[in-house]
Amino acid sequence: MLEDLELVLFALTTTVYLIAWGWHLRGWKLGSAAQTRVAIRILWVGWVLHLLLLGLRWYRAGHVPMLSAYEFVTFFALLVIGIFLLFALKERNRMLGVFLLPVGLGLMLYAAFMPMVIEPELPIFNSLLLKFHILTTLLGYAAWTITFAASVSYLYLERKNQASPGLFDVMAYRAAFFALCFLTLGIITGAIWGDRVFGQLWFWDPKETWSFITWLIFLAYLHARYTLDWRGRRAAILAILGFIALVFTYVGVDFLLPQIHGTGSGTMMGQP
Amino acid sequence: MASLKVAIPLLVLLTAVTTIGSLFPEPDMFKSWWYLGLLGLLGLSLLFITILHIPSILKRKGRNALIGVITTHLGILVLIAGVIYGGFSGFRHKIKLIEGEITVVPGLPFVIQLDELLIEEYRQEDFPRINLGALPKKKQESRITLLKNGKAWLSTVAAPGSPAIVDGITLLPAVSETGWYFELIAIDPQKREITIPVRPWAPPLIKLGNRNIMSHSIVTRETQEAEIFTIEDDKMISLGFVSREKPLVVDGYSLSLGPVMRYTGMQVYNRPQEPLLVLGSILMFSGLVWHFYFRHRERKQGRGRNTGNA
Repeated sequence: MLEDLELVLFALTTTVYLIAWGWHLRGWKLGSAAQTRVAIRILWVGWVLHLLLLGLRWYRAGHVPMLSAYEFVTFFALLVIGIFLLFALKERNRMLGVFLLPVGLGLMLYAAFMPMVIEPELPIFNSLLLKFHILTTLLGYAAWTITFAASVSYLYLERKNQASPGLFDVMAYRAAFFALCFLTLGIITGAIWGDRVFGQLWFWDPKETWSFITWLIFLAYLHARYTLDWRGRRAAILAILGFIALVFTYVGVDFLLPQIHGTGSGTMMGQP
Repeated sequence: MASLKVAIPLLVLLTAVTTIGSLFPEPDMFKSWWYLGLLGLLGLSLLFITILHIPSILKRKGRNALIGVITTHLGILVLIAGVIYGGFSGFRHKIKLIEGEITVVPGLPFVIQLDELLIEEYRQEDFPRINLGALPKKKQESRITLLKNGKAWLSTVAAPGSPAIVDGITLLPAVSETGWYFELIAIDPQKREITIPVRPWAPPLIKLGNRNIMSHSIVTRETQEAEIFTIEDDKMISLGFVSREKPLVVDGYSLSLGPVMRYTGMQVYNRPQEPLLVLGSILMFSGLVWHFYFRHRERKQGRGRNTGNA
């Protein structure tokens, strides 16, 4: 019964997100702030459904829903959409949704292909530190997704010679800073958790190595802006590169490189 | 070295090399002299930039935000120093503890006795999605007593995720390295009894009459049993199972199962560089937050002043 309800909530959330994106595109095409406002309201409805979905999952599983691959991806989508909704409180930021909602939708579709079965939480995963590691890392990824969407928006507006692409350039930078802070915290807490469980802070496991590479790219982006005065197009391209690294860390590594890390698209059973 | 014209290409080079290293893995690449050298060069560059820029930053307008940058860079330097120091200090032993036995680890002020290893496993039905070779553990607690001068000094419990830390020495049981230590009892044709200890991580080759035999693990079906193999042409051929009740006769020898005890792998280590790693992490993160807060505030104040002037 509850399992069916979860399935229904998942389908509803994804459908509402899809409608919100469609409405967003419509508002953007017509240049209508009123239509975009409706899209944001629809998106809020979808997000509340998403919260209910994860709340139900939490209740059913008896543990925070971020451990299995399905939970991890769904939780990430919740953060991406949630952070966008915060940005969208300011009307001028709303265009970002055109490029950001497909990422959220893509994550939901990706989760749809994963097994939704609930498995017990192993004692080594029953740790606040691990939850904090996952949460901060995902917040870092979600913030960089904003950087990515803002950079794509910038490049698009620049190509179309439309007004104020600079707004998206600044937005990309601000989100990048949050992304770096959260990813730094995520890497540190992950290392401490790994140490407490496996006795080693760093394994150079592909997931860790790619987190490090992604962190270096985030770092390079901020340094390029600060010290080389990279703005606009060049910074946007670097931000997109950072997003590609992020996607590879998050998804590609699981499929292409053998590893011990347990989350993402992999299995929660992974351990050295 | 103190210029960003050196630091940024080094950062790009490090990113490129790390990427290539992860896509085309070479054993121990990340421990190679040239990779560590690259990290060291970046660290040196960071050190010079940080030191040489401090005086000018302190005089500059908007210095609060820049103090955050310096703090973050100092944090990274302290972290790199911690990693390097860790490479030359501390110790790490990987040992096996058998229930009821005392293990001596060289250099430690105590010896370790594993009193009991409590293990509770999940059932296969709990994980319908995956077919597991080994069932994950629901509970895994090593109850240990540390002895000094032959006397019990401290009793503690260690588990993966919550190691026992005694006098700066960490005792961390391995997640998956557990099993059964056992003894085989062989009675020769003259009725003499021979005890053969079997440590599964290094199973012995046993000569019984004209046969070489070996056994490496305990199988629990209705009772505990050990499978006995003989080795012919470098191949292991099963001769059957022995238990306490059912002996197996091999070349005139009667073989049965003796005492069976659990064992666990354990890491025993200390990490003198830990304070540096903690300090470096705190500096790095607090510097980032500090920088962002003041940069935002200073920009806001700057905008306020500009608006006022206008």
